[in-house]
Amino acid sequence: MATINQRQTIKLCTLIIVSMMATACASAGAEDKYFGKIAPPKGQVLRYITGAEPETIDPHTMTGQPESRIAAALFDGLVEYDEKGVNPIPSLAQRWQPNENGTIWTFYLRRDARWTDGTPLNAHDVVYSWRRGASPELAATYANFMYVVKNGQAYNAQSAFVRDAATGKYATESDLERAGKDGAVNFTGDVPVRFDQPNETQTQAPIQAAAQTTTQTKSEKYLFVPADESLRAKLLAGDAAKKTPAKPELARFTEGKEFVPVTKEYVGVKALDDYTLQVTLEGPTAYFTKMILHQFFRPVPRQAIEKHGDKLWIKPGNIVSSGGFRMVSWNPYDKIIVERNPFHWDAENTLLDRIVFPSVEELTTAMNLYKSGEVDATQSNEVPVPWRNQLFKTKKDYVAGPALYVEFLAIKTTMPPFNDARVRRALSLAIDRRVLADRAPGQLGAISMSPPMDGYDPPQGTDFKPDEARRLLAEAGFPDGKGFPEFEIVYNTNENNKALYEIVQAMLKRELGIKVELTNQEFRTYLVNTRASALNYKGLSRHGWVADYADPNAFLELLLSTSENNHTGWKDPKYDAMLLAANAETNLPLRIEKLRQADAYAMREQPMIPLTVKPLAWVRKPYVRGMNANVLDQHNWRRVSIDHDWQASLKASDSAAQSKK
Amino acid sequence: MFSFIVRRLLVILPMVLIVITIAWALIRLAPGDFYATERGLPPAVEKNIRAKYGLDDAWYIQYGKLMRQLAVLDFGFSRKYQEQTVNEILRRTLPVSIWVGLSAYLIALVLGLTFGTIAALRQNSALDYSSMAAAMLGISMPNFVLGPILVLVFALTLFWLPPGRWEWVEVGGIYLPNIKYLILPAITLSAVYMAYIARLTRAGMLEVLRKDYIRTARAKGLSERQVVFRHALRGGILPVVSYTGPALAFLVAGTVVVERVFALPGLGNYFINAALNRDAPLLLGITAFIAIVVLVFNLLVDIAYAYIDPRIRY
Repeated sequence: MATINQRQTIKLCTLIIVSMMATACASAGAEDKYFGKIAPPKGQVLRYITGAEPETIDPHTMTGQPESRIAAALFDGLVEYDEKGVNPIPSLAQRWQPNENGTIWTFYLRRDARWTDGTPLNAHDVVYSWRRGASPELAATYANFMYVVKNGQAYNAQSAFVRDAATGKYATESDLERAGKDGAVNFTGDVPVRFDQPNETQTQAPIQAAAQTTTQTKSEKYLFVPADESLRAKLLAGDAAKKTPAKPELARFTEGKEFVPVTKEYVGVKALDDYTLQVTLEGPTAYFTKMILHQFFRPVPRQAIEKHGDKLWIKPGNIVSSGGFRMVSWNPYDKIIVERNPFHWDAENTLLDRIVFPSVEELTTAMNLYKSGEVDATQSNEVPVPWRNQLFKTKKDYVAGPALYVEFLAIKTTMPPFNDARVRRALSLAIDRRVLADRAPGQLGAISMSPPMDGYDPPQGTDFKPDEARRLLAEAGFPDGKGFPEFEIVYNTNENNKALYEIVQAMLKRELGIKVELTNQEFRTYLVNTRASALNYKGLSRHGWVADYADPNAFLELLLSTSENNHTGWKDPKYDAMLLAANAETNLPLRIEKLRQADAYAMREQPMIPLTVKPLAWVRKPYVRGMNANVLDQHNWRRVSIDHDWQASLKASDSAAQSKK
Repeated sequence: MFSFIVRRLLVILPMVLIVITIAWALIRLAPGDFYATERGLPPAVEKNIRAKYGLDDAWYIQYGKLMRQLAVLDFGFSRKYQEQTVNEILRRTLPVSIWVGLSAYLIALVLGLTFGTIAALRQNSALDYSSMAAAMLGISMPNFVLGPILVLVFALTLFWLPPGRWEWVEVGGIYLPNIKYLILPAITLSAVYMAYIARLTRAGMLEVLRKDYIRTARAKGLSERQVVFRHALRGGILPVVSYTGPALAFLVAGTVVVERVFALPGLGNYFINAALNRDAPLLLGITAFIAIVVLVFNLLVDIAYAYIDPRIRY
């Protein structure tokens, strides 16, 4: 997720190198249609730069996009990316069915899926994997992806239910509310459902079982407290160091009661039988199937993990996988080689024999390897920024187009004068996004929280309206920017950020007459200072956000009052409710409309200023088939191939295009 | 001599300890944690991670753990590269760095000594000026300029050599580097050292050539060849020898720029990433290793001094 920016900061005077290279290629190959040598590898082998050395290839503990593409080759998912790289198509799950309100999903798994050790891959593997992902012991960074699943959060946070030994009833949140300071303590919650007991649902059809559970989940929200005794004591007594107050009401409420730790069996994933998986969610989650495209939800092999441990199971020799490809070798800081997995159910339709993932740190080095014909394609953003315009204009192998990657300015809304929405909107309306967008091929101006994507056409949220900006600023008490306090834009040290925000700085000065300082900080220092719980900056901070799944919610949820990615201090219950309602909507057109309304509302309040929708920027040799521009930069590796007859196919498509004219 | 070596060895231990303690303190003071990304973490997720790695333990517990690790020279798993131990990383990357570093130093030594000696013998001639000008260019041209120029010429225009990366070739059970991949990085890395050595040699030789014992040697009627190689060179290269210790240590561990330009799987890459990623075990492991290497090389240089220079006795 954050790796793109991190890597860009590590450049060592790349600019010098870049300008030299750029001039060199301009003079050398002006009439060449393609960038560098075209020498297809022998056989069906793809050499693809997915980024720097992967931190791991464990789908649960990896955090970056480069790793996710390796995971997608090695591990099959319930669903797989479609041609656009956006929507889910059946893979391990042949079909799926939500209940009427979208809280319980039943997945019907294919019976011919196998691990690379030949053992069958079934619903129990999925249950094991999803529980592992949420487990506090594994401490996965993406564990909160499991928070949409019933009790996923409670299990990950090591919480406990509160039980009354006398009545056998469990405490609910409304019980606590009712008890208050001195009311009667009366628990009303039924025994919480455990998802490891097949007895009650075994005989029933899955849909019926689903309906039954729904009524129960609707009834009550259980009260959770820390399972650890000392942590619980700290919560009840308050913690002076962390400035949390004591909770005498909760103390009275839970006194003398039993605490039942939320174990993995309470997490809402259940194997109804060997090939039917039932997932119970915390609430309706319309984007659930898009979310499980993410590598975090791809099943991992219990047999290998239990044998070799959480870290060592992914070593070549230990690893057992399930995807279209299996591990051949992993030479760290050099390359990972995978080959077609003969055990895979789709092996006969998988076209490549091998994929080589060389790990390359420097963008220029990656480009050199591409140019000399040693690699066939790269990930997005691998093309250095100063090269992009030139390559886009002169070479056919450059791939541009919008990505689900938006550049934002977050406003610290708790700090005057930024607590005034008029000031925030004025700032946004003063920025000419066309100028910013024109700096890179394929880049768009961002006028809404969520960028446009398949099935989502965002509202006209904000744009360049300098007159209105000046009017709003005057209304807020700063005509022509007079008396506007000094503030800063904080960004992580990076040449591109610097260039971009110098333009923004100039625009604010020109249109509104206000002065802003630019402050650059080392990446990790910047992360500490801008985090939601700190907001240690004066005015504005920059943020690049890459969506983990292709749904507007991936961007809109940044502004939830509870979000850790809300760098603005803006907390609006109305917005929270709007987004919640949209995600609970099962009617697709209605849901999109609600999302648009939430998006438009956010742009009226303007806690964040969207600047640009960043473009894809990668290269691909003309003989590579099945790798297309897509917003998440994910590819279905099983459909990629090398066309050794590429010149003939190129001619054929050219003449076809001409005859059409 | 023996007691000298023992004394120096005893000094190495506290020195390593001090270096490690400072590095440990610095990485603790550096803002940000290894697990932080642009994606914010819910409190529970962060708490689990901190608990897993013992980040909230008292400082003396963490320091104690570090000392135990240092005692057995095993720093456990890297935090960023989750399934690789620090020792594994060292074992794997060191051969690459050593090959590149030593090849570069060998090139630098042979060419530097030759140029330096010739320049000294033909002082103030055109040969002297041109070789010293070349040396000046070598010193002032940084790796990250020379590397890409070589790549541009030999890899991207002539297509003679690969623009980067690394390959091992197995020859009778021994792994040797594929020389195609070694040439450009080694030449790039050698330039600065060659230039320094040439200048050091020239200066050293000029000084020695004016010494009385050289005049004596000449007076005895020794051939110029014998004067230069048996007598002058021995004294003339002393500055080069004292330069060799730190240079070799640096060549093995400090080749970050060249490793990045050529995408080599060497130690330097890991070292800089460990600092940027706040990967404490990896950073401390490599720091300890480099500290030991530098100190040992310096000791070796001092011993070599005694053999080369008859005036030095310990």
